[in-house]
Amino acid sequence: MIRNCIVLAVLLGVVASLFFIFPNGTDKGTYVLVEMQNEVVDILPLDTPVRKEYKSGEDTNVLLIEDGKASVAEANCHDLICARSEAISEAGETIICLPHKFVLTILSAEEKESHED
Amino acid sequence: MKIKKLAVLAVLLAVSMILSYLESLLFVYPIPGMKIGLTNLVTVFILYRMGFKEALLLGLLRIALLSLLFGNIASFFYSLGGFSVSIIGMGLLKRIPTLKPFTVSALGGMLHNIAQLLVAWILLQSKGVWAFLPSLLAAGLLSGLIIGIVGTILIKRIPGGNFAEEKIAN
Repeated sequence: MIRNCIVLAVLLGVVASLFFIFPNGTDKGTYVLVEMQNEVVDILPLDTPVRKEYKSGEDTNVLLIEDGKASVAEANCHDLICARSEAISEAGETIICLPHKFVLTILSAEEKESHED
Repeated sequence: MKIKKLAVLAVLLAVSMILSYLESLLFVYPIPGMKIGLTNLVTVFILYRMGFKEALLLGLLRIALLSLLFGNIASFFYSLGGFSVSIIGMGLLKRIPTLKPFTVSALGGMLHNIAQLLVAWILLQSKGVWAFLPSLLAAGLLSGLIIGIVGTILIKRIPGGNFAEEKIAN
């Protein structure tokens, strides 16, 4: 029993330390990368409010940028996890729509340059 | 396979499918992939009372049937990836005599979520999915632990041994 508790405590420690090793977006992102079906379709600046629709066949996701944050305003996927996700603004943050393979990722200025190469 | 064992496995398959369905009605989760995994009560129960092969077989059947009924191709691969890695991991960990079912289950929960992130990484070709690693590991640890604790009670309380004997109790 004691050994099992030690194992669990160690696991808890490892998981907790992961939160510090991979801080979930500390630097301010400036761009949002839009991917559909594993392909980059757009890179947009976060400081320009915009509402844009992305279609792939029947699949539709509406990207909304306002107040320097990106979110999915509307989608016709079955689970709507993407539409319920909170707006994102920090580098590394993502909103993923699994059914449509639609991914929003916040990029820092440097990351954006590497994507344009 | 003995007839009684076959019948018990069939009932457990039905129970595990209902638990999956029930869970989808009861809870809404903040992060995709975060789940309590009530159906794994059945997995843990079978793993300890009947064995690895039975648990593997039943889980694979459950995933195939649920995907046909309610799922899509993507959800099938996520379930399959998560389940196969966690059941193989738990089957091996169970051999370590000091590890109790709740510890094995907690580790299984973490393995399940790591495997699902791997599947997401392959399907989406996006490194971004690893941002979910810490929270999904924490979720896997917690839900695996809860399932393991409740599972331990079931393993002890439900009568019938390993369901292999011909004689029916009572």
